[in-house]
Amino acid sequence: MTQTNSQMKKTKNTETFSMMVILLIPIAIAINVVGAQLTSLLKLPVDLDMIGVILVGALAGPIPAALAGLLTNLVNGVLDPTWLPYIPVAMCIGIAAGLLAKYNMMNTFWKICVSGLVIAIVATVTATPVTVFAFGGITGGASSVFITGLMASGKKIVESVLSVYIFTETIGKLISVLVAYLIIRVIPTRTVTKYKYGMNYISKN
Amino acid sequence: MGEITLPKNRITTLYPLTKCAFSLLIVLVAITTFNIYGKLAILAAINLLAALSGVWQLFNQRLFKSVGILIVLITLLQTFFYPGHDVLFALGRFTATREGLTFALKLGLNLANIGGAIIWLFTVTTEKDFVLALEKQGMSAKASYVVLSTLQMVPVLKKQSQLIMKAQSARGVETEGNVFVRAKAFVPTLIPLVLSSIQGTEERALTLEARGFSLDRPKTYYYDIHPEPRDKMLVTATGILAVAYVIGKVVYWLWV
Repeated sequence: MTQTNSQMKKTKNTETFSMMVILLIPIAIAINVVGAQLTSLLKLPVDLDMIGVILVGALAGPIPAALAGLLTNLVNGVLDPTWLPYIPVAMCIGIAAGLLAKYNMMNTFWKICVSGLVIAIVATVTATPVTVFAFGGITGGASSVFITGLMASGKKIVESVLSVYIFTETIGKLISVLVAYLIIRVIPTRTVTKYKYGMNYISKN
Repeated sequence: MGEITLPKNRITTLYPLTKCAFSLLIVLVAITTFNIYGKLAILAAINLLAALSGVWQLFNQRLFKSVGILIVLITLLQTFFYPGHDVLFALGRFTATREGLTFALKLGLNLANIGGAIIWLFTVTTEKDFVLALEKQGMSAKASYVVLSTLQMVPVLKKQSQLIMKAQSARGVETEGNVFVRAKAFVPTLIPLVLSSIQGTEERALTLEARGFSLDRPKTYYYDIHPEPRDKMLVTATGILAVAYVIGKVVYWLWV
Protein backbone atom coordinates (compact mmCIF):
# COMPACT_ATOMS: atom_id res chain seq x y z
CA MET A 1 0.00 0.00 0.00
CA THR A 2 2.75 2.46 0.90
CA GLN A 3 4.44 2.31 -2.48
CA THR A 4 1.31 3.24 -4.32
CA ASN A 5 0.28 5.97 -1.89
CA SER A 6 1.25 8.80 -4.21
CA GLN A 7 -0.64 7.22 -7.09
CA MET A 8 -3.67 6.63 -4.91
CA LYS A 9 -3.91 10.26 -3.93
CA LYS A 10 -4.29 11.26 -7.56
CA THR A 11 -6.98 8.66 -8.25
CA LYS A 12 -8.76 8.75 -4.93
CA ASN A 13 -12.26 8.12 -6.26
CA THR A 14 -11.30 5.18 -8.47
CA GLU A 15 -9.79 3.30 -5.53
CA THR A 16 -11.98 0.29 -4.62
CA PHE A 17 -12.10 1.01 -0.89
CA SER A 18 -11.83 4.77 -0.71
CA MET A 19 -12.88 6.57 2.44
CA MET A 20 -16.21 7.46 0.83
CA VAL A 21 -16.91 3.78 0.15
CA ILE A 22 -15.97 2.76 3.67
CA LEU A 23 -18.42 5.31 4.98
CA LEU A 24 -21.10 4.30 2.47
CA ILE A 25 -21.14 0.63 3.47
CA PRO A 26 -22.55 1.12 7.01
CA ILE A 27 -25.26 3.37 5.59
CA ALA A 28 -26.06 0.76 2.95
CA ILE A 29 -26.40 -1.94 5.59
CA ALA A 30 -28.66 0.31 7.62
CA ILE A 31 -30.73 0.95 4.45
CA ASN A 32 -31.11 -2.82 4.04
CA VAL A 33 -32.29 -3.20 7.62
CA VAL A 34 -34.63 -0.23 7.43
CA GLY A 35 -35.92 -1.43 4.05
CA ALA A 36 -36.78 -4.78 5.60
CA GLN A 37 -38.40 -3.03 8.55
CA LEU A 38 -40.44 -0.73 6.31
CA THR A 39 -41.72 -3.61 4.20
CA SER A 40 -43.00 -5.28 7.34
CA LEU A 41 -44.40 -2.01 8.76
CA LEU A 42 -46.20 -1.24 5.50
CA LYS A 43 -47.10 -4.93 5.14
CA LEU A 44 -45.72 -5.18 1.61
CA PRO A 45 -45.57 -8.71 0.21
CA VAL A 46 -42.05 -8.42 -1.29
CA ASP A 47 -38.60 -8.42 0.33
CA LEU A 48 -36.85 -5.08 -0.11
CA ASP A 49 -33.88 -5.88 2.10
CA MET A 50 -31.10 -5.58 -0.50
CA ILE A 51 -31.53 -1.95 -1.63
CA GLY A 52 -28.37 -0.88 0.19
CA VAL A 53 -26.28 -3.64 -1.38
CA ILE A 54 -27.53 -2.68 -4.84
CA LEU A 55 -26.81 0.98 -4.07
CA VAL A 56 -23.19 0.19 -3.14
CA GLY A 57 -22.87 -1.93 -6.28
CA ALA A 58 -24.22 0.87 -8.44
CA LEU A 59 -21.86 3.46 -6.99
CA ALA A 60 -18.74 1.56 -5.99
CA GLY A 61 -18.65 -1.71 -7.95
CA PRO A 62 -18.81 -5.43 -7.22
CA ILE A 63 -16.27 -5.93 -4.44
CA PRO A 64 -17.55 -3.29 -1.99
CA ALA A 65 -21.10 -4.45 -2.76
CA ALA A 66 -20.22 -8.06 -1.99
CA LEU A 67 -18.69 -6.88 1.28
CA ALA A 68 -21.84 -4.88 2.06
CA GLY A 69 -23.90 -8.01 1.40
CA LEU A 70 -21.68 -10.14 3.62
CA LEU A 71 -21.79 -7.62 6.46
CA THR A 72 -25.56 -7.09 6.16
CA ASN A 73 -26.17 -10.76 6.78
CA LEU A 74 -23.50 -11.02 9.48
CA VAL A 75 -24.84 -8.03 11.40
CA ASN A 76 -28.41 -9.28 11.13
CA GLY A 77 -27.22 -12.80 11.89
CA VAL A 78 -25.94 -11.79 15.31
CA LEU A 79 -29.51 -11.45 16.54
CA ASP A 80 -31.24 -13.69 14.01
CA PRO A 81 -28.99 -16.53 12.77
CA THR A 82 -31.45 -17.42 10.00
CA TRP A 83 -29.75 -14.65 7.97
CA LEU A 84 -26.41 -16.44 7.97
CA PRO A 85 -27.09 -19.18 5.37
CA TYR A 86 -28.06 -16.42 2.91
CA ILE A 87 -24.60 -14.80 2.99
CA PRO A 88 -23.64 -16.15 -0.48
CA VAL A 89 -26.95 -14.87 -1.88
CA ALA A 90 -26.34 -11.34 -0.62
CA MET A 91 -22.77 -11.41 -1.92
CA CYS A 92 -23.87 -12.61 -5.36
CA ILE A 93 -26.52 -9.89 -5.54
CA GLY A 94 -23.79 -7.35 -4.70
CA ILE A 95 -21.42 -8.72 -7.34
CA ALA A 96 -24.19 -8.75 -9.95
CA ALA A 97 -25.22 -5.17 -9.15
CA GLY A 98 -21.60 -4.03 -9.21
CA LEU A 99 -20.87 -5.65 -12.56
CA LEU A 100 -24.05 -4.18 -14.05
CA ALA A 101 -22.96 -0.74 -12.84
CA LYS A 102 -19.50 -1.28 -14.29
CA TYR A 103 -21.04 -1.77 -17.73
CA ASN A 104 -23.26 1.25 -17.12
CA MET A 105 -26.51 -0.71 -16.94
CA MET A 106 -28.27 1.34 -14.26
CA ASN A 107 -28.99 4.81 -15.57
CA THR A 108 -32.04 4.66 -17.81
CA PHE A 109 -35.42 3.10 -17.22
CA TRP A 110 -35.06 0.14 -19.58
CA LYS A 111 -31.51 -0.55 -18.37
CA ILE A 112 -32.80 -0.56 -14.79
CA CYS A 113 -35.48 -3.08 -15.76
CA VAL A 114 -32.85 -5.34 -17.37
CA SER A 115 -30.61 -4.98 -14.31
CA GLY A 116 -33.51 -5.77 -12.01
CA LEU A 117 -34.25 -8.94 -13.96
CA VAL A 118 -30.61 -10.04 -13.98
CA ILE A 119 -30.28 -9.47 -10.23
CA ALA A 120 -33.60 -11.27 -9.66
CA ILE A 121 -32.34 -14.31 -11.58
CA VAL A 122 -29.08 -14.30 -9.61
CA ALA A 123 -31.02 -14.02 -6.35
CA THR A 124 -33.45 -16.81 -7.28
CA VAL A 125 -30.74 -19.22 -8.42
CA THR A 126 -28.64 -18.67 -5.28
CA ALA A 127 -31.44 -18.41 -2.72
CA THR A 128 -33.42 -21.49 -3.78
CA PRO A 129 -30.83 -24.10 -2.69
CA VAL A 130 -30.35 -22.30 0.63
CA THR A 131 -34.09 -22.19 1.35
CA VAL A 132 -34.50 -25.84 0.35
CA PHE A 133 -31.51 -27.32 2.18
CA ALA A 134 -31.32 -25.13 5.26
CA PHE A 135 -35.03 -24.59 5.87
CA GLY A 136 -36.90 -27.24 3.90
CA GLY A 137 -38.66 -24.55 1.90
CA ILE A 138 -40.23 -22.52 4.70
CA THR A 139 -38.45 -19.45 6.04
CA GLY A 140 -41.34 -17.60 7.65
CA GLY A 141 -41.04 -14.77 5.12
CA ALA A 142 -43.78 -13.32 2.96
CA SER A 143 -43.20 -15.91 0.23
CA SER A 144 -43.64 -18.89 2.59
CA VAL A 145 -47.42 -18.74 2.30
CA PHE A 146 -47.28 -19.30 -1.45
CA ILE A 147 -44.53 -21.91 -1.20
CA THR A 148 -46.56 -23.94 1.29
CA GLY A 149 -49.58 -23.59 -0.93
CA LEU A 150 -47.69 -25.11 -3.85
CA MET A 151 -46.21 -27.83 -1.64
CA ALA A 152 -49.71 -28.67 -0.42
CA SER A 153 -50.88 -29.05 -4.00
CA GLY A 154 -48.32 -31.83 -4.38
CA LYS A 155 -45.37 -30.06 -6.00
CA LYS A 156 -41.80 -30.91 -4.99
CA ILE A 157 -40.07 -28.54 -2.54
CA VAL A 158 -37.48 -27.28 -5.05
CA GLU A 159 -40.14 -26.71 -7.69
CA SER A 160 -42.39 -24.79 -5.28
CA VAL A 161 -39.59 -22.60 -3.95
CA LEU A 162 -38.20 -21.87 -7.40
CA SER A 163 -41.53 -20.93 -8.95
CA VAL A 164 -42.45 -18.62 -6.07
CA TYR A 165 -39.00 -17.00 -5.88
CA ILE A 166 -38.92 -16.26 -9.61
CA PHE A 167 -42.09 -14.26 -9.13
CA THR A 168 -41.39 -12.47 -5.81
CA GLU A 169 -37.72 -11.80 -6.57
CA THR A 170 -38.49 -10.28 -9.96
CA ILE A 171 -40.89 -7.77 -8.44
CA GLY A 172 -38.73 -7.21 -5.35
CA LYS A 173 -35.46 -6.68 -7.20
CA LEU A 174 -37.03 -4.47 -9.89
CA ILE A 175 -38.35 -2.19 -7.15
CA SER A 176 -35.04 -2.38 -5.26
CA VAL A 177 -32.96 -1.31 -8.26
CA LEU A 178 -35.43 1.46 -9.03
CA VAL A 179 -35.32 2.75 -5.43
CA ALA A 180 -31.51 2.57 -5.42
CA TYR A 181 -31.50 4.63 -8.63
CA LEU A 182 -33.92 7.17 -7.12
CA ILE A 183 -31.61 7.47 -4.11
CA ILE A 184 -28.61 8.10 -6.36
CA ARG A 185 -30.53 10.74 -8.30
CA VAL A 186 -31.25 12.76 -5.16
CA ILE A 187 -27.73 12.54 -3.70
CA PRO A 188 -25.99 15.85 -4.47
CA THR A 189 -23.83 15.65 -7.60
CA ARG A 190 -20.69 16.68 -5.75
CA THR A 191 -21.06 13.63 -3.51
CA VAL A 192 -22.06 11.17 -6.25
CA THR A 193 -18.97 11.96 -8.33
CA LYS A 194 -16.75 10.91 -5.44
CA TYR A 195 -17.72 7.28 -6.02
CA LYS A 196 -16.11 5.09 -8.66
CA TYR A 197 -19.08 4.84 -11.02
CA GLY A 198 -20.75 8.06 -9.88
CA MET A 199 -20.12 9.82 -13.19
CA ASN A 200 -22.57 7.44 -14.88
CA TYR A 201 -25.50 8.95 -13.01
CA ILE A 202 -25.11 12.68 -13.65
CA SER A 203 -26.39 14.40 -16.74
CA LYS A 204 -23.51 15.84 -18.70
CA ASN A 205 -25.20 19.01 -19.98
CA MET B 1 -28.33 -4.65 19.49
CA GLY B 2 -29.38 -2.59 22.50
CA GLU B 3 -26.90 -2.13 25.32
CA ILE B 4 -27.21 -4.80 27.96
CA THR B 5 -25.13 -5.28 31.05
CA LEU B 6 -23.54 -8.70 31.10
CA PRO B 7 -23.28 -10.54 34.37
CA LYS B 8 -19.59 -10.78 35.26
CA ASN B 9 -18.62 -14.38 35.80
CA ARG B 10 -16.02 -16.90 34.70
CA ILE B 11 -17.60 -17.51 31.33
CA THR B 12 -18.64 -14.04 30.26
CA THR B 13 -15.22 -12.57 31.07
CA LEU B 14 -13.40 -15.03 28.81
CA TYR B 15 -11.61 -13.63 25.77
CA PRO B 16 -14.10 -13.31 22.85
CA LEU B 17 -12.21 -15.76 20.64
CA THR B 18 -12.29 -18.40 23.40
CA LYS B 19 -16.06 -18.16 23.49
CA CYS B 20 -16.08 -18.20 19.70
CA ALA B 21 -14.12 -21.48 19.78
CA PHE B 22 -16.75 -23.00 22.11
CA SER B 23 -19.50 -21.83 19.80
CA LEU B 24 -17.78 -23.27 16.71
CA LEU B 25 -17.33 -26.62 18.48
CA ILE B 26 -21.06 -26.71 19.24
CA VAL B 27 -21.87 -25.90 15.60
CA LEU B 28 -19.50 -28.66 14.45
CA VAL B 29 -21.14 -31.22 16.71
CA ALA B 30 -24.62 -29.97 15.78
CA ILE B 31 -24.15 -30.37 12.03
CA THR B 32 -22.64 -33.84 12.36
CA THR B 33 -25.29 -35.25 14.68
CA PHE B 34 -28.20 -36.81 12.82
CA ASN B 35 -30.05 -38.51 15.66
CA ILE B 36 -33.02 -36.63 17.15
CA TYR B 37 -32.05 -37.51 20.74
CA GLY B 38 -28.49 -36.42 20.04
CA LYS B 39 -29.81 -33.11 18.75
CA LEU B 40 -31.96 -32.71 21.86
CA ALA B 41 -28.91 -33.40 24.02
CA ILE B 42 -27.01 -30.64 22.23
CA LEU B 43 -29.87 -28.20 22.80
CA ALA B 44 -29.82 -29.13 26.49
CA ALA B 45 -26.05 -28.60 26.56
CA ILE B 46 -26.38 -25.13 25.04
CA ASN B 47 -29.06 -24.27 27.59
CA LEU B 48 -26.78 -25.49 30.37
CA LEU B 49 -23.95 -23.35 29.00
CA ALA B 50 -26.27 -20.33 28.86
CA ALA B 51 -27.42 -20.99 32.43
CA LEU B 52 -23.82 -21.30 33.64
CA SER B 53 -23.04 -17.98 31.96
CA GLY B 54 -25.96 -16.41 33.83
CA VAL B 55 -27.84 -15.39 30.68
CA TRP B 56 -30.34 -18.24 30.41
CA GLN B 57 -33.43 -16.02 30.29
CA LEU B 58 -32.05 -13.50 27.79
CA PHE B 59 -30.64 -16.32 25.67
CA ASN B 60 -34.00 -18.04 25.42
CA GLN B 61 -35.82 -14.81 24.69
CA ARG B 62 -33.50 -14.17 21.77
CA LEU B 63 -33.60 -17.76 20.58
CA PHE B 64 -37.38 -17.73 20.60
CA LYS B 65 -37.61 -14.39 18.78
CA SER B 66 -35.25 -15.46 16.00
CA VAL B 67 -35.85 -19.16 15.36
CA GLY B 68 -38.57 -20.17 17.85
CA ILE B 69 -41.53 -18.95 15.83
CA LEU B 70 -39.98 -20.28 12.65
CA ILE B 71 -39.58 -23.72 14.21
CA VAL B 72 -43.25 -23.80 15.26
CA LEU B 73 -44.23 -22.80 11.71
CA ILE B 74 -41.95 -25.40 10.14
CA THR B 75 -43.24 -28.15 12.42
CA LEU B 76 -46.87 -27.34 11.66
CA LEU B 77 -46.44 -27.03 7.90
CA GLN B 78 -43.94 -29.81 7.22
CA THR B 79 -45.88 -32.32 9.31
CA PHE B 80 -48.82 -31.87 6.98
CA PHE B 81 -47.15 -31.15 3.67
CA TYR B 82 -43.93 -33.17 3.61
CA PRO B 83 -44.44 -36.19 1.31
CA GLY B 84 -44.90 -39.34 3.39
CA HIS B 85 -47.06 -42.44 3.79
CA ASP B 86 -47.05 -43.21 7.51
CA VAL B 87 -50.18 -41.29 8.52
CA LEU B 88 -50.37 -40.10 12.13
CA PHE B 89 -53.76 -38.37 11.99
CA ALA B 90 -55.91 -36.41 9.57
CA LEU B 91 -57.32 -32.91 9.85
CA GLY B 92 -59.96 -32.26 7.22
CA ARG B 93 -58.34 -33.01 3.87
CA PHE B 94 -54.78 -32.71 5.23
CA THR B 95 -52.94 -35.64 6.72
CA ALA B 96 -50.08 -35.45 9.20
CA THR B 97 -47.33 -37.96 8.41
CA ARG B 98 -44.60 -39.42 10.58
CA GLU B 99 -42.02 -38.63 7.87
CA GLY B 100 -43.11 -35.00 7.91
CA LEU B 101 -42.93 -34.74 11.68
CA THR B 102 -39.48 -36.35 11.82
CA PHE B 103 -38.19 -34.10 9.03
CA ALA B 104 -39.62 -31.01 10.76
CA LEU B 105 -38.20 -31.92 14.18
CA LYS B 106 -34.74 -32.61 12.78
CA LEU B 107 -34.74 -29.37 10.82
CA GLY B 108 -36.11 -27.41 13.77
CA LEU B 109 -33.56 -28.81 16.20
CA ASN B 110 -30.76 -28.07 13.72
CA LEU B 111 -31.91 -24.46 13.51
CA ALA B 112 -32.20 -24.22 17.29
CA ASN B 113 -28.75 -25.75 17.85
CA ILE B 114 -26.75 -23.83 15.28
CA GLY B 115 -28.73 -20.65 15.92
CA GLY B 116 -28.41 -21.22 19.65
CA ALA B 117 -24.62 -21.55 19.52
CA ILE B 118 -24.37 -18.22 17.68
CA ILE B 119 -26.93 -16.47 19.85
CA TRP B 120 -25.18 -17.67 23.00
CA LEU B 121 -21.86 -16.31 21.68
CA PHE B 122 -23.31 -12.84 21.09
CA THR B 123 -25.30 -12.88 24.29
CA VAL B 124 -22.16 -13.35 26.39
CA THR B 125 -19.90 -11.24 24.15
CA THR B 126 -20.40 -7.63 23.14
CA GLU B 127 -19.92 -7.00 19.42
CA LYS B 128 -17.32 -4.38 20.33
CA ASP B 129 -15.12 -6.90 22.13
CA PHE B 130 -15.59 -9.45 19.39
CA VAL B 131 -14.58 -7.05 16.62
CA LEU B 132 -11.61 -5.79 18.64
CA ALA B 133 -10.42 -9.36 19.16
CA LEU B 134 -10.72 -10.03 15.42
CA GLU B 135 -8.80 -6.85 14.65
CA LYS B 136 -6.00 -8.03 16.92
CA GLN B 137 -5.93 -11.29 14.96
CA GLY B 138 -5.15 -9.30 11.84
CA MET B 139 -8.50 -8.09 10.50
CA SER B 140 -8.11 -4.65 8.94
CA ALA B 141 -9.06 -1.61 11.01
CA LYS B 142 -11.24 -0.45 8.13
CA ALA B 143 -13.33 -3.61 8.39
CA SER B 144 -13.79 -3.24 12.12
CA TYR B 145 -14.74 0.41 11.67
CA VAL B 146 -17.38 -0.61 9.13
CA VAL B 147 -18.83 -3.26 11.44
CA LEU B 148 -18.87 -1.07 14.53
CA SER B 149 -20.32 1.97 12.83
CA THR B 150 -22.98 -0.24 11.24
CA LEU B 151 -23.95 -1.57 14.65
CA GLN B 152 -24.27 2.01 15.88
CA MET B 153 -26.11 3.25 12.84
CA VAL B 154 -28.77 0.56 12.46
CA PRO B 155 -30.79 1.30 15.63
CA VAL B 156 -30.50 5.06 15.05
CA LEU B 157 -31.77 4.85 11.49
CA LYS B 158 -34.51 2.42 12.49
CA LYS B 159 -35.81 4.95 14.98
CA GLN B 160 -35.42 7.79 12.51
CA SER B 161 -37.37 5.92 9.84
CA GLN B 162 -40.36 5.59 12.14
CA LEU B 163 -40.13 9.31 12.83
CA ILE B 164 -39.98 10.15 9.13
CA MET B 165 -42.92 7.87 8.42
CA LYS B 166 -45.00 9.72 11.01
CA ALA B 167 -43.88 13.08 9.65
CA GLN B 168 -44.71 12.07 6.08
CA SER B 169 -48.12 10.71 7.03
CA ALA B 170 -48.79 14.04 8.77
CA ARG B 171 -48.05 15.66 5.41
CA GLY B 172 -50.59 13.43 3.72
CA VAL B 173 -48.50 10.44 2.55
CA GLU B 174 -50.80 7.49 3.09
CA THR B 175 -49.30 4.62 5.08
CA GLU B 176 -52.49 2.58 5.21
CA GLY B 177 -54.79 1.28 2.51
CA ASN B 178 -54.29 -1.26 -0.28
CA VAL B 179 -50.90 -2.65 -1.35
CA PHE B 180 -50.25 0.06 -3.94
CA VAL B 181 -51.10 2.89 -1.57
CA ARG B 182 -48.79 1.44 1.08
CA ALA B 183 -46.04 0.79 -1.47
CA LYS B 184 -46.13 4.45 -2.47
CA ALA B 185 -45.22 5.41 1.10
CA PHE B 186 -41.98 3.43 0.89
CA VAL B 187 -39.93 5.87 -1.18
CA PRO B 188 -40.85 9.11 0.66
CA THR B 189 -39.83 7.43 3.91
CA LEU B 190 -36.57 5.89 2.77
CA ILE B 191 -35.13 8.75 0.73
CA PRO B 192 -34.99 11.50 3.40
CA LEU B 193 -33.39 8.98 5.70
CA VAL B 194 -30.69 7.97 3.24
CA LEU B 195 -30.01 11.53 2.14
CA SER B 196 -29.42 12.83 5.63
CA SER B 197 -27.00 10.02 6.40
CA ILE B 198 -25.11 10.23 3.09
CA GLN B 199 -24.71 13.98 3.44
CA GLY B 200 -22.92 13.37 6.72
CA THR B 201 -20.29 11.10 5.16
CA GLU B 202 -17.98 13.82 3.86
CA GLU B 203 -17.71 15.38 7.30
CA ARG B 204 -17.17 11.99 8.83
CA ALA B 205 -14.42 11.24 6.32
CA LEU B 206 -12.64 14.44 7.35
CA THR B 207 -13.07 13.61 11.02
CA LEU B 208 -11.55 10.17 10.54
CA GLU B 209 -8.67 11.44 8.43
CA ALA B 210 -7.90 14.09 11.05
CA ARG B 211 -7.39 11.23 13.52
CA GLY B 212 -5.02 9.39 11.20
CA PHE B 213 -7.46 6.63 10.27
CA SER B 214 -5.83 5.72 6.95
CA LEU B 215 -2.22 5.93 8.16
CA ASP B 216 -0.23 2.73 7.72
CA ARG B 217 0.90 2.68 11.32
CA PRO B 218 0.09 0.46 14.28
CA LYS B 219 -3.07 1.75 15.96
CA THR B 220 -3.44 2.70 19.59
CA TYR B 221 -6.60 1.82 21.51
CA TYR B 222 -8.70 3.72 24.02
CA TYR B 223 -10.40 0.50 24.92
CA ASP B 224 -8.39 -2.69 25.06
CA ILE B 225 -8.74 -6.36 25.94
CA HIS B 226 -6.15 -9.11 26.33
CA PRO B 227 -6.33 -12.90 26.37
CA GLU B 228 -5.31 -14.48 29.66
CA PRO B 229 -3.36 -17.73 30.14
CA ARG B 230 -6.60 -19.63 30.81
CA ASP B 231 -7.89 -18.50 27.39
CA LYS B 232 -4.93 -20.06 25.63
CA MET B 233 -5.47 -23.27 27.59
CA LEU B 234 -9.20 -23.40 26.85
CA VAL B 235 -8.75 -22.72 23.13
CA THR B 236 -6.15 -25.50 22.90
CA ALA B 237 -8.44 -27.84 24.83
CA THR B 238 -11.37 -26.98 22.54
CA GLY B 239 -9.19 -27.56 19.50
CA ILE B 240 -8.04 -30.97 20.76
CA LEU B 241 -11.63 -31.86 21.60
CA ALA B 242 -12.76 -30.89 18.10
CA VAL B 243 -10.04 -32.96 16.42
CA ALA B 244 -10.77 -35.92 18.71
CA TYR B 245 -14.47 -35.60 17.93
CA VAL B 246 -13.89 -35.57 14.17
CA ILE B 247 -11.55 -38.57 14.33
CA GLY B 248 -14.00 -40.42 16.58
CA LYS B 249 -16.87 -39.67 14.21
CA VAL B 250 -14.95 -40.83 11.14
CA VAL B 251 -13.81 -44.03 12.86
CA TYR B 252 -17.39 -44.69 13.98
CA TRP B 253 -18.73 -44.22 10.45
CA LEU B 254 -16.10 -46.49 8.93
CA TRP B 255 -16.82 -49.21 11.48
CA VAL B 256 -20.58 -49.19 11.52
